[in-house]
Amino acid sequence: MRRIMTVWAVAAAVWPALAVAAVSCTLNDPDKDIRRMFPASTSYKTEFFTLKEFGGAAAKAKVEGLLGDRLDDEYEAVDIGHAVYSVFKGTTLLGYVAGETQRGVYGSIQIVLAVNPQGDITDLYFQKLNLPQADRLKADAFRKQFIGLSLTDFYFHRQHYPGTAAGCRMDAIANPLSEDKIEFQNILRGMMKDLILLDMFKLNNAHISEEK
Amino acid sequence: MKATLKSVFMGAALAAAAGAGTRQLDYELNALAGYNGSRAVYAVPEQRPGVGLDYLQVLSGPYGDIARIQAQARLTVDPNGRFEPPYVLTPFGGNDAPEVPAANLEFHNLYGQIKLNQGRSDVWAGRRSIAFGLEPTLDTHSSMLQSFAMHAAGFKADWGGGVQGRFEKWDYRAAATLGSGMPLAAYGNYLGAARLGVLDMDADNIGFGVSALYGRTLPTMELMIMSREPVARMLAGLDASWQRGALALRVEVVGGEAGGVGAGGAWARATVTVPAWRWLAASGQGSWFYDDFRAREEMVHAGVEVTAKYNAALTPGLAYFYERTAAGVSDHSVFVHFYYAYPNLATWRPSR
Repeated sequence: MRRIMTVWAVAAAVWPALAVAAVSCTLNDPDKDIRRMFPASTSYKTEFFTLKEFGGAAAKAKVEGLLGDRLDDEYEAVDIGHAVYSVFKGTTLLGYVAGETQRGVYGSIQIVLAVNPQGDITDLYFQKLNLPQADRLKADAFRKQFIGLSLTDFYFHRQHYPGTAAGCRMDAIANPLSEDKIEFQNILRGMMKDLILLDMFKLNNAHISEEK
Repeated sequence: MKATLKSVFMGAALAAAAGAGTRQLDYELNALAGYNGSRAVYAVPEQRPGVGLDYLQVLSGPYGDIARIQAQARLTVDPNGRFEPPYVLTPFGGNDAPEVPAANLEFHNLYGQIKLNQGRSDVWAGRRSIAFGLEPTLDTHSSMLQSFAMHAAGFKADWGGGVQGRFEKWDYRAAATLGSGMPLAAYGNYLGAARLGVLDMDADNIGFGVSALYGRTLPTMELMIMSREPVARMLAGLDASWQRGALALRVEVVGGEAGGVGAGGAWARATVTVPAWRWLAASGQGSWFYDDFRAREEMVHAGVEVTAKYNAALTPGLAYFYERTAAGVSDHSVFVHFYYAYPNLATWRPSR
């Protein structure tokens, strides 16, 4: 019995020292997915970031301000890790890949974005999407409308939503789920959260600073 | 090739020494209890009450990942177990225990993997899922229902090394392992296994696989070695998985020889995640395995598990199992299961 107690005591002492956060959305198959999103890539580097490392409550408030919505206290908590993959060709940075989990009507949605070093979307796909009309969202015709957009476009759109504004590139993106506005908004929220976090974690707040 | 390998190993060693890279760790609490007839039971294969950790370390250089280390370890207890020295059974040393021990130190995954050719030919060493059937594609670490590997090989993970790679529409894995399952034991046992997968259920909604294994495996039951006489096994298998909306289906068939005589079987699982109540999921599976080696034994297993996710960390569940052996003996059991995994112990509030 003493031996069991000793093992438990050692484990209890060691675990907190090692503890880091659970991760929001890692790629199921990063080798394959990153090669597909960046065909010229030769390597990628995985990193996990948390809002806690970037200021905790202040960072959370900054994200919520840009997003125009509260972060979930549990699934989007400051100690939840976010995986970011920096993609290289040799020693040249090609861009970043990051996925985010977003609550959806039919279960959680996992959206994966690829951006260039400036933060413009170069590709995207849904790693998890359970709604019955998923094929409409997975279609190239829908996904390709986001290529070239950045956090600046999402922020501009969010400021004027539900209205339209001259020069808003996102106003042209039609909801393929015509009967389901809520799920479409969930998907846009997930993408915008992904872009905000990428900006904070890897782009030195390049777009966030613009919006201030 | 030799120079590449040398630079990769040196890079991994330097990265490890420098602590370069990133890591994650989850605490794990596992509680289960049930009834089998009128008897209280506290264990099913691969699941016992206990505490554990799930640790992942990615080792990186300045321009890319070099290697990864994963450790899933559990210290489990069984109130029905033997409270005599040694109280804790470990994977190391002979464990010819006729009785269930009071505590087990279990390593479910414990391996280091070096990345080669952008994931096209990664090599690993340690303990991980066997390269056979659906087992390497399923995460059964927190599940009461296990894969068909428990019948085909007698265990779902093994000590050794292997190579695996991923391509756009197909993947492969091959491994040379000890053939002892959870104990690290060598009594003339060995196992070679390989699987070729085409498409992938997560990415393509459908996937297929063909597998083979050959070797002499030790009869083990988790950490206990039931016999030091390895059993010859030569099996081939086919598997398929498919999902549409809330429903996922998986099937696997195997055939070949065990102990020099015929063996084979089939396994199927259906999983439904209720769309309106996304926290609720149900899985049902059934398997039939014919083992001529074990006195022409024919085994039928069925199980149902319903889980209700309370929050991001805690998942309570109920499970029912049915088992019938060749002698016509039927066995029923029900279990309550609580599985908790999170980086801290403070998340007990329900999801909104």
